Amino acid sequence: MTDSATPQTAKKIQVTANVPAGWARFTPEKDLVMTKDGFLLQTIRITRAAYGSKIENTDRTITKGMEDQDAAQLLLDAFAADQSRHNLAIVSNTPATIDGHPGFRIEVTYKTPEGLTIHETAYVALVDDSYVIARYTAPDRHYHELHSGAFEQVVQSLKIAPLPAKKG
Amino acid sequence: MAQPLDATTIEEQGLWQRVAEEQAALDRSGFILQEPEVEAYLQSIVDRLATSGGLQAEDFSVKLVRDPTLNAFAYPNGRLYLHTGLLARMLNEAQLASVLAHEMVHATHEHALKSQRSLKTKTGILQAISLSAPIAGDYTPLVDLLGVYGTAAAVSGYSKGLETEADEVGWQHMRACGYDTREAPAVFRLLMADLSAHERKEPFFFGTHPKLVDREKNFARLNKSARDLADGEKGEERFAEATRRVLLLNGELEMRAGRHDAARDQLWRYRAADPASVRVRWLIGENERVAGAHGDQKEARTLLEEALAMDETFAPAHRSLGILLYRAGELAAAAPHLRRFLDLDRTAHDRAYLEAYLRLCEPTPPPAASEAAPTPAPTSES
Repeated sequence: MTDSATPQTAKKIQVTANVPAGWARFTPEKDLVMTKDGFLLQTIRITRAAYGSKIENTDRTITKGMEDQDAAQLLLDAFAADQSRHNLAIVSNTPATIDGHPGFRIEVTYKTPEGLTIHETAYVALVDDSYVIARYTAPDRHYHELHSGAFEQVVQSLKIAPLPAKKG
Repeated sequence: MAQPLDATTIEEQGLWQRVAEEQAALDRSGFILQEPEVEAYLQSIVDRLATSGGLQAEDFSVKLVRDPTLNAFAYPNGRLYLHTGLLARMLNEAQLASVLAHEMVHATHEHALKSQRSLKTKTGILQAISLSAPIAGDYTPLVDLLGVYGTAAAVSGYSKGLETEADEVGWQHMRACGYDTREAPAVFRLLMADLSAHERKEPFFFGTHPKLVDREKNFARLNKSARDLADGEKGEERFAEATRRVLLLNGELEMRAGRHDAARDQLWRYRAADPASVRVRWLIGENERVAGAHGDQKEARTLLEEALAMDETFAPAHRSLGILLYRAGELAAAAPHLRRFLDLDRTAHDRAYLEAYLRLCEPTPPPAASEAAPTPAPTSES
């Protein structure tokens, strides 16, 4: 935990972001994962996926060159089919630019099987060699709004480098 | 045939309490379909099977789950759940009865309790799920939704002996009701063919090829031992009439899951039953549109235009046709549809994308010379 925002890089996915002051970064090397008070109260997770990887709960994939609107709809459809997200509601869905890359921002609410309402915001950057997802998940009541500004700053700070070419 | 489990021991009371909690979570999930006519029809078959088997019909109830995967399962207290994906692939009432009868036997013959006793602990049940259902992959979300007992029933099924018992007793109930039991192996062959044709892997019991093979073999064996099979009832017309709404609902779910072939099949079957439906024209057209290279864009356009000819105020068809034409480079033709959609649906969540398309379709003309001069800002005196 640091007193000021600190840039951190997840080397395997070549993504750098500022971890907000007072937040802790956890290090599964593949992703950037951070929280302030614990994962159940707020989590920011930044991941990177290859084009063509199957989206959970569907037979669909985000492909290179896909329109941002279609990719957003695909993720929203996958959320709607996820039986661990009850009563899904779409709050917003807009185009967005992330570190100069085209993409989109979606915001949803849903209930967990235990009945807790979760508010989730996700930015997706459609990069040349892959796509990067930055997700902020927190209970709708109190916590989501409290730290949504910190999440927006994390997204503003994102630096996405090309993935190294695979050997062989 | 025994009644569904009564809570007579502490062990059973614990199971019932847990089952009640799991069902409550499932029932409030938003995934239970509220289609009273379909539910009433499903209940009528369960009632018929129960009564023929000398059971109390009121001990059983059935709910429909909005999910395109192949699944049906029963809790030990007689509550049955059937996925729309399984129902939408069936062709007649006898096929439906074969699955429901099989599931009812799991409840009446205490298969959950017998499995619990043999596995001893919850951890044991979870381990059994992970070992017996390798294609389920990460089963944790299923346990979140269905609970331990629901997952055991829906994903891994029970031991081979208990599943065979469910086939045999279920088959007897089908016979007692007068159903054509040849439709029992037929439905499992249908599901196997569906899985093979689309190289699909599904997490649930009825979407797992070896389990379907077992069911098909068991029912075929039972049929060999019987006479007068041809006299049984299929109930094709009654089934088609009662369940046609499910084809429309599940067809859309298939489309959104990217299973465009299954969506195409179900939506065209619905259209045959309800040729005046605007919504099904839109869905068939939208399915072809979003299937991209695997879809027929020409057919999509025709069907979307047909839908709008039938109902010009049907907003989703304007959206679909507007996007199709925009992506085809026909900007002038796309603009009125995009504009009309945005007028008709003021809360569209993807409004920002469509407004951006519209700006490209309708570039703002340069201002006339007389309009170019800046308007003076109002002052506090004015």
